[in-house]
Amino acid sequence: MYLGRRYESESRVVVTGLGVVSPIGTGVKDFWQAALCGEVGTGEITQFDTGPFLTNKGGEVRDFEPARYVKNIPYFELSRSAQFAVAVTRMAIEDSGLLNHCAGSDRMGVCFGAVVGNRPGCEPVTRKLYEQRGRLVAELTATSAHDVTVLSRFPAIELGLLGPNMTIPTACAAGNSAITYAMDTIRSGRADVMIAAGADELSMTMFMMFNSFRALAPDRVQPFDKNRKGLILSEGAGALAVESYRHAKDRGAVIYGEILGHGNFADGHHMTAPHPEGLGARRSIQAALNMAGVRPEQVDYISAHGTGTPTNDLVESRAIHAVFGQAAKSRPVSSIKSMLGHTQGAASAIEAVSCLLAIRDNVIPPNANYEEADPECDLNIIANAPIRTKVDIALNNAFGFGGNISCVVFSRLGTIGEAR
Amino acid sequence: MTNRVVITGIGTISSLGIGNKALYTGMVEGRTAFSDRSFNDPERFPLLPRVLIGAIENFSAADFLGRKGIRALNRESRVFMTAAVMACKDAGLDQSSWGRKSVGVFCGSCFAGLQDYVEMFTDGLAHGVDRISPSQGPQTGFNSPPSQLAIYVGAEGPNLTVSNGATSSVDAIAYGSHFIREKRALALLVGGVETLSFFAVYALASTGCLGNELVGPRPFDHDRKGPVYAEAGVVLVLEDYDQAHRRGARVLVEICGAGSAFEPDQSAPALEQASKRAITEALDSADIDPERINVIFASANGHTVGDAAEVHALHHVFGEAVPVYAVKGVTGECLGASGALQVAAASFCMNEHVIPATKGFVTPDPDLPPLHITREYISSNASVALVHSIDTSGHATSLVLRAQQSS
Repeated sequence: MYLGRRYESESRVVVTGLGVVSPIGTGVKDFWQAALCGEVGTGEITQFDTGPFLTNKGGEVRDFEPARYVKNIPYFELSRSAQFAVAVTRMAIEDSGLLNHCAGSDRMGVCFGAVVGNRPGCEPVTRKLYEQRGRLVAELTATSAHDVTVLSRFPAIELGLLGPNMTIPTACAAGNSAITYAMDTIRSGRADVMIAAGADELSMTMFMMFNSFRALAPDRVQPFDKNRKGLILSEGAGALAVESYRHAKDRGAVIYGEILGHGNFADGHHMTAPHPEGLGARRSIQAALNMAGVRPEQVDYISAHGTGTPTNDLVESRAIHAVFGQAAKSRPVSSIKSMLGHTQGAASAIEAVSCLLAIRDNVIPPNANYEEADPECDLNIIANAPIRTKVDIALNNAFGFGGNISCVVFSRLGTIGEAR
Repeated sequence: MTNRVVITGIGTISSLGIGNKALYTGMVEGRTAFSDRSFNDPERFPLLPRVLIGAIENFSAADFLGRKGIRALNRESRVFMTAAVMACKDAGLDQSSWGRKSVGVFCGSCFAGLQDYVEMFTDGLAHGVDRISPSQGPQTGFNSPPSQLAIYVGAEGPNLTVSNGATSSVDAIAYGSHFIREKRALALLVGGVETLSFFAVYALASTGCLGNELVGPRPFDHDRKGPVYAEAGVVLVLEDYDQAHRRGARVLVEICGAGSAFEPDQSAPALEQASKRAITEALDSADIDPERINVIFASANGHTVGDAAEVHALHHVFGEAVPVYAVKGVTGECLGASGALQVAAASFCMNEHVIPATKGFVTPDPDLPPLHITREYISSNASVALVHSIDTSGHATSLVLRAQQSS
């Protein structure tokens, strides 16, 4: 397996299917159309009372019908994030053309990343328990909301995927962490196809946390803008069907792009504040480029973590400048969090979907709500409207609390090295 | 360049005590430290019925970590960080001299941050959201223990959290081994942590995981009635063999193979199938035949279905001659920390040339195929071990370990 001595290793790893559930649309087509229109999906939260908070804005998924995607498990027994997880897995598998080949396959696995996953399901139970405080517990209301493994298990159960199954809750870097695991697993020869994904749902507790940080934007997200005021918490899921190139080629699959490299270094600095010089980010970006065999000036698009908080965007800019040098001012940069808000553990998975669609269509989605350049974030921000341009190589950044950082490089197939 | 991955240090904290000696003597003596507990936080929660658990007692993280900043850490972070400090000391790894970006942290956990999450929620209900302290938030995440450890020791290499039920930390060890082999880090502090808070116990009780009887676990036994859940923090120092050799480190065991599998059905036959696939993959990746395995550190915790599945799988692959030891008879089921705990047990036994009796195993189950489950202390020169981990949700992961004298 991971040590891979007897298994035939596969050096090239590609993406053959995509799935998205997001505040700007469910399904790849609707999502991408909205993204290219600069449509903002954040708005007033309806899922819980935001009265006591400093803001009432969030990114809710509004058009999601779980029964359309969750067909082999009673969908109402699943948490919202688990429904998202099953949905994006089904979408990615259908998109890859593997739907009729996956049931019972031990060569196809699942890896999900999350921040809290289905943990918000603890909140109604906790509310009831709080009402009983100081007394003997009245009854035990069954809850599985403590078990985040459902994010990887239920998609596998739904579609019969018996390969490696893993849940990686590495904060807001989790989507890219899952992609990294999928790439490693396929390159080790342990699987032919891995669903690499992220999913999270909105929760009052996470809203409490960011409210306490004074990190929530009052009305909109403005990544890299001089007047940016913070992030907006969101929900959603994104999935990639990651496949060995040989397997994809043999079955004549349509290939969105190739995963060339990844980098994972920690800041080791602070639980909520990034390293002021973006130490872990610099190392992670550089490691991903090195593994990909890509020079900074070859990168056509940087999909930024870009949360819209004053600190993150400043530090990310510094990290990009440190690695890209002269090329930092010319490489196109955008953060789709300007439209979706911060979908937590799903963010970098959805942004990876966006990178692959950018490569497919040679178009870069906009950084919405961008009005005034911040001289301290001196980057080529793709402001408010998409641009049509060659996109052969894209870098996807993801930074999380605890200094968890993961960066991934995607390319059009054959851009680096020859597609054999 | 050998690309070999070795363990050079171990730190353990469990209900048996603080430190490796406490765990090892507990294993050899067949000592348990389970106690029935109630969880009482009348300001926030109702009282739960008493349950039997294995709690970490007499633990003061400040004795190992110092007092600075310790109040901001949750219990699981304190336990994990302390185990890591012990492991570094055991490995002779000097925190002040290592290349910070060459050292990373991987951690398996199921419950990390859970209690902090629900406490923050209740504090919001009780006192208003404007009274939530910003220092509470970072502790609500699964990734809090490995992140806090990275900050504390200056480990700026890869950092990962795995939550895969009882296989979490053995999955972390397997994936960490891959990172070492790929030279993404020279050393990784890899392990797992689980602590039992009010909500963790409530969740286990509400889903029928806790029995009503206050009796200890009986792995593989005919009269097994379910696991006893317990707390633990275990950290192993994984190193590139060449790096360990260069710095003159003592090598405890080598990790030479790993495999994992998943089955969606939670029945005994499905779990047996997952186990067989994980074991076969581990043996294949180590490039050895089943006959080379001369001791097995099993996952059995007294679970009716899980233990039966494991017996069938082990019997199918190895027959009945290989000694099988289940450490969870003395430690209980430590979920995210269990796999690392089994690896620690394997390392202790292979280096001390013993295989302890499986505590709680008295009467073989006549419905299961025969297996050489240890019922008394055995002197052993076992050189190649299988560590097998199973979670009844459908996950199974195996590791092959090799003692150093046999390499």
